[in-house]
Amino acid sequence: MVRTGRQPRTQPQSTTTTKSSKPSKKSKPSTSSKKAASAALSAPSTGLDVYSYAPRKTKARGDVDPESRASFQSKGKGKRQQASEDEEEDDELMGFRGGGIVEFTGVKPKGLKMGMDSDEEFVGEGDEDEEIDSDEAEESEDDFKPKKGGKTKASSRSNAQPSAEIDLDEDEIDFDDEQGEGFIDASEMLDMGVYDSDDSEIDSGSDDGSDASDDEEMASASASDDDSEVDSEYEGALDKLGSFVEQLESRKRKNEGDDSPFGDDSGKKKKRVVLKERTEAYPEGEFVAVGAHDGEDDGKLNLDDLLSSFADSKNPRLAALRKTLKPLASSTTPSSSTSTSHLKSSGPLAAPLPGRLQDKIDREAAYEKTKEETDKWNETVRRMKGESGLGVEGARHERLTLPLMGGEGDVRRAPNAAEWSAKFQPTNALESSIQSLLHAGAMSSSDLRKAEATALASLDPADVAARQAELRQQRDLMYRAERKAKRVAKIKSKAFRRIHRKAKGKEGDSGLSLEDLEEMDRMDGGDRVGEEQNRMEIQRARERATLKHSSKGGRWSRTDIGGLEGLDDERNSAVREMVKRNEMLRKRIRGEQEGEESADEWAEGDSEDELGEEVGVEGIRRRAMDELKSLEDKEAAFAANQPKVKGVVGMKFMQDAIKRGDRKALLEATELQERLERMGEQAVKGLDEEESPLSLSEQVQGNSGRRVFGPSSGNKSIATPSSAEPASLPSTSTTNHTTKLNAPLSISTRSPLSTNATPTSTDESNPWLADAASASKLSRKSNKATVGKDSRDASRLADKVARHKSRQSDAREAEQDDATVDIDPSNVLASAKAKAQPQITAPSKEKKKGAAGPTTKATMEEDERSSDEDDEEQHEAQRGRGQLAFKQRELVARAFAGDNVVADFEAEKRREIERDAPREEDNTLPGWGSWGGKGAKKSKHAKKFITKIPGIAPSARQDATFTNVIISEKKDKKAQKYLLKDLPFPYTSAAQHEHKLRTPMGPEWSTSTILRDQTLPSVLIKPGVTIRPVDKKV
Amino acid sequence: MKIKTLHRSLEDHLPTSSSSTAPISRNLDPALHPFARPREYTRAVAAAKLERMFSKPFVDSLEGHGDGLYSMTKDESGGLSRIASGSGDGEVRVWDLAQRKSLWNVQGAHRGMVKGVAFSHPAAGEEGRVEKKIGSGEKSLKRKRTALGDKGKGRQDEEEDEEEDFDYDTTLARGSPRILSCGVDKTVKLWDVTGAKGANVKPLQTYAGKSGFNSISHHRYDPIFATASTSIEIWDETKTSPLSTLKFHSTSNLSSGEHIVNVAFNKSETSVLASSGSDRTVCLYDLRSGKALGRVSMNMRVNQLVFNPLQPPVLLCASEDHNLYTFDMRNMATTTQVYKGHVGAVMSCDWAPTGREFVSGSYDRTIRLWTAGEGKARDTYHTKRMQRVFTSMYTLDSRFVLSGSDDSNLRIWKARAGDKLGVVDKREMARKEYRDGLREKWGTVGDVAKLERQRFLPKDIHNAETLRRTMLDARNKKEENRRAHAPKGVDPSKLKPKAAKKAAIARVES
Repeated sequence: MVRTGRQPRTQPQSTTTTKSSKPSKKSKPSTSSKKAASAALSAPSTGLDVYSYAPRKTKARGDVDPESRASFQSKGKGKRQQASEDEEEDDELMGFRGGGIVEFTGVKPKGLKMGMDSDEEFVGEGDEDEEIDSDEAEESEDDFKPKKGGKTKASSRSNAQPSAEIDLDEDEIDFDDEQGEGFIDASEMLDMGVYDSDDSEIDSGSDDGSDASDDEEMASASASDDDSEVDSEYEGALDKLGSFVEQLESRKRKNEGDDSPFGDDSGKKKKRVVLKERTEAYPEGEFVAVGAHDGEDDGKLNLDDLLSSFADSKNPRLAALRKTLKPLASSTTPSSSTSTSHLKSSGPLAAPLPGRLQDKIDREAAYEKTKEETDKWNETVRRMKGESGLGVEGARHERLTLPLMGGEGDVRRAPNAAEWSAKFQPTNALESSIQSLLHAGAMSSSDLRKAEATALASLDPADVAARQAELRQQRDLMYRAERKAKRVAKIKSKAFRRIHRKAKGKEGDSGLSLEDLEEMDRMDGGDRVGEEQNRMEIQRARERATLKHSSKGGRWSRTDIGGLEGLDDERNSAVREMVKRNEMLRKRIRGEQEGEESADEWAEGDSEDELGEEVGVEGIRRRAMDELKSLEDKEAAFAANQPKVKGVVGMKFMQDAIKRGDRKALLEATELQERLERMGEQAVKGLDEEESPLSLSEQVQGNSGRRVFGPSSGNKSIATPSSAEPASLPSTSTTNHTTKLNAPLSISTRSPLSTNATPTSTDESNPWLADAASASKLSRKSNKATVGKDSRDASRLADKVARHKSRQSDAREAEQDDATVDIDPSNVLASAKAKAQPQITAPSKEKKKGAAGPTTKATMEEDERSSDEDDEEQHEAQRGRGQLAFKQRELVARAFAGDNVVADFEAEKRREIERDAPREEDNTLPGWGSWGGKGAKKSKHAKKFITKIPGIAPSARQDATFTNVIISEKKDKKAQKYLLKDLPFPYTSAAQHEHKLRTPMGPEWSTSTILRDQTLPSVLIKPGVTIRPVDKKV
Repeated sequence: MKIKTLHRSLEDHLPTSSSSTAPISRNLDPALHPFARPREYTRAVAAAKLERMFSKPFVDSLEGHGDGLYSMTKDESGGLSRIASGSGDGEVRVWDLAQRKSLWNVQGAHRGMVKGVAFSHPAAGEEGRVEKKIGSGEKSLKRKRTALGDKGKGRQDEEEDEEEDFDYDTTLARGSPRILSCGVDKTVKLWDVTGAKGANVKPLQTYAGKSGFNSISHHRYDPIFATASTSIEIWDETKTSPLSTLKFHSTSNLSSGEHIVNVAFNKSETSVLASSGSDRTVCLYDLRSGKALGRVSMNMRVNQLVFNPLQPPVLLCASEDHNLYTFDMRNMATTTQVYKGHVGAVMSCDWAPTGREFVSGSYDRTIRLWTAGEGKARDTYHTKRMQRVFTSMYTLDSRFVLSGSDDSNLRIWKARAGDKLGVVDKREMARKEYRDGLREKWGTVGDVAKLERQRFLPKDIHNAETLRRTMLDARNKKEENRRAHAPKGVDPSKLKPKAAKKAAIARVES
């Protein structure tokens, strides 16, 4: 602040006024508040808020605050201001912030002082009060802002207080010099015409001196904005306005009456009408010209007055000075002395900051800029470090090749079309003529862009957006289709091509898929899908008709016809049959017309010439009977006209053999006949009975996935009753058959059905043994016995059912057994003995049989049978049941007899623990180093020879908690050498490191290119060339 | 139709040229190579041993100076084998490394110690001139050199000069014909290297300062240079008074006896300067704003600082506290890495032109080679006769390292101790690369790690290391105790140990 040599206006008054201001405010809060309100409101209403607001913001923190000043000077400050605005709330909370800053800056804080003077001000608006110099100083001095109206203002002011950001490091700076005291608007300084040497006097000056003009301004402002004021001050605002105007008028009157600039003081402070003693006619000062007061300027000296002297001078420096002072000069003219006029000027002239602070601000701003610049190198740095991620995939490093090419790193990029066109300059006549033509026709890219812009401008924005969206969608769809086509085009498979071609042909003329059609239907409500389906159906039917779908048929018809000319009939019939079969299978797949038709089919398949009406079992039976009959007839005829046989065949043993064969055949025939007849009876019965649809098919061999269709399914109805009357089957005949059919002997003695009916045939000491051994085995055998014997359908069927059931139950039981069984050698042995009995007896029985059957054939059969049996037993044993299993278990038990595994393990672990346990070893050599004999004392050095071996305490062992585990605590010293303490740097996990070491690197294990890639250094340097620093940002 | 036939081409089994080996076909199935790992490990051990066996880093020592070498510079404008050095007796020499001899010298260049030397730029039109590319996005203020001795020709001439600018083919560079030297005698002198040599050579230009100069650094493109005395001064080569003076506090006059120890231009972000002061600060400046940017006070003074040539924001500092530090100049509040190993003050450091390695010379009579980002030295060089190393440097092809020490010798070392000098066969090179690959891969395991790590150092250095370790341990222990037995009322945050990367930093000022 500029110090003037002039005496302050009122030395004694300075204190009195400040003191008196407080009661005056209190006495008429309504007026002052109104004034404030009007001041607050006038700014926005006159549209001058920009001006009135900005300087406030910047100056709010007190005159010497460096930060606010910097906002005038440095760009970087703007940012900070923003940040401080963000901390608005914080600042509001910290009402004393202003004081804090001021304290730091070493300046007497006005706010603080005012706080001492008037509590009201301090509490009410702690942060906005420190205006010593600013334009508002005058207003705000006695504006006591109503909280309602002034709140926004206060908060906005508090924004501009980034006090916390100031580093307190600088506190050694001496601020006692007056430089830091504040900066005063030059216009105001001139306005006042007086310079105070003390802060308090500035206050007082602003209190009284400037109020004269200010109040006038205020009045005019408030008068012009009456309505807005009324809006805010709705409570009795009009009354207040009245009184306010009145008061203003009175004040004006006083002003007019009193020449002195302090005239209004008396108006303001009614209580203290102590007029100061006047020693001179007018206030003196170096800027107060003599007699100036007689004009309308109240004796103030205008800047214009000073400037006028060199207005005409040609000196360029003076001209420059004039220029800078121009705004100030204009603001001081009384014609424009509204509250906003001087705000319109370029702002207050700031007193320079202390050098150090200014430096600090400059540094910060410069650093920010430099950082910004340096940030542009980031990409370069990344590349130079080899971290840009642009390296060859799978390469060990991103390689840096030095020296850098063309100074722009190792990256060269060709400019794209847009860049070219932007840069394009015509070089020859042709090019320039073309360009001029383009320009003439407004076809250059910029013109086109403009035209597009105008066209777009005329459209509805929503419409444009919709169109753009549509276009985008179309483009997207096209792109996808393109991608798909590309992908498909890559496929090389011939089969795919064939199918694809067919699919293409199959698709209708529209070439659209069903989904597409459905979509279209949904859009316009047509029935394209239905039509398409119909069309496809017809096409399919046509195809079926042409047999083209059957590759087999196709092949027959296409390829083989030529080569099989001679076998025409055969081929035809075969083809027909195949087609029929195909058709039938297709039907079945579709699930159409099962049941009778299928049976019919089978019947037809057997004999085509048979009548179609013969249905099912009846047909079969009849046919079989007919066949038999015809055979008998044939035989009889043959026997009748049998000529005398000669030769070997005529010999007696041959004849006997033939007869025996005949008898056998006869037996079979009669049996068959019998059974067929019985079947006939039962068929009649069975037809009455309900047949479940499932019973048509039969599971084969307990395999639920495999089903048998056809005759066996028809026979099922017969099988059930046959099981009900097992006795009716002659056992003798069965024995015959079984022996022939390689059935194991043990079953052949009884009928399979009977075994099923009475499962517990053997003596059982062990319940699970019996189940496992006998029942399953027997059933197994019965299976063998019956399979392949087509004549005994019924029994076979029944058997199957039973077997299936038993197998399931057996399996379950076996599982349970396995789960529960404990090997108890004694028990097993006993049961094994019990089982051994029948095992041994069986062969003897067979022997008897064998003796009965004298032929060698029988023995052969026996061998086979026994081998079969063995196989069976093996199987059983593997499944954990049966006798063999027990044998094995027994074997195992014997093999490990006396093995006390658990105890051994425990003992071993104990030994391990003991060995690792910490212990002391006595290394003393008896008789050495000490006296022996009677009465010899124990040596002092006894301790020396005891070595303590710090092992691992049993509780500290790794396996301390695991009873069934021994974890060795020994360390492999040799391996220790190769173990790492820490994971090496670039790796983040042990697995990574392991993997790295595991992948061998060398000519033996990788190809030369890979090896080269693995071993090539990360920085490649061209030898003998200077490597320059990088000079271009990538 | 493709028919598979048995086909044996001789070409598959014969070498492609007479010099190459016959191709060997191998089955790469890992199952057939059950001992791949042990074999590889053995090879790695062998490679590490071979590396140690062949590591003979010392190439030559160049004699000529009558006193210790305290400054050294390389010719960045292109002379690969040319370097200059200044000694304690005021002599400046220019050396040719390829011929291993002194090309030019001037005795008594300065009265007293030559504290800094720097090559100037070839002038516009001169051979070896390197220009910044125009249109690189950066607005460079072009400063045209007028002929020396000419006191300002006028604008027209300068504009004509601009048209003569051309990009110089770097491979043909012979280097700059002029050299700047600064000394404690308060002068900076510009010398013509191509001219007369000996005792009575007159400098082209003398620039007088107010106090002794400690360091000099030349701008990469423009004919301006910065000197360090009580403040940083920026000079134009054609003007005898400084263009500007840079200080941290523009108001201070640094009368307290503090001085700037070292100054360095950033070669890529060319307007940025860094300096270190005897007041233990490292400070950044920007010529564009003409202001200091910020500074950081460290616990000990920084003897030399260098910007990374390929990573412009990276700054390397050789500190008096036996360590080296790298900074990112955008965040001086923390170092990016601490490099520990020296047992004496680190007097000098220099980046390899690859920007990934650097060399440091120390008061402990060793030179150490470092990889950026790794806290321990890759290698340590020493000889029996080498005294305190005051200056060290990488050559511009990144193959050699130079050191200037108190014993008045300039020594040439290999940057890679195991490298073979001379022509290396391609196959030999490939084998070497394979061995290096193995060493790197297995470098952390077993014997390879030991071989890679272990260096036998002179007894005094070894003892110093042991002592240093003891001291550090003791200090750490003390700190721990202090923390453990701190009284209850003490703020625990104050007891927290400082992060190692920030430990060297005392204060950051903006």
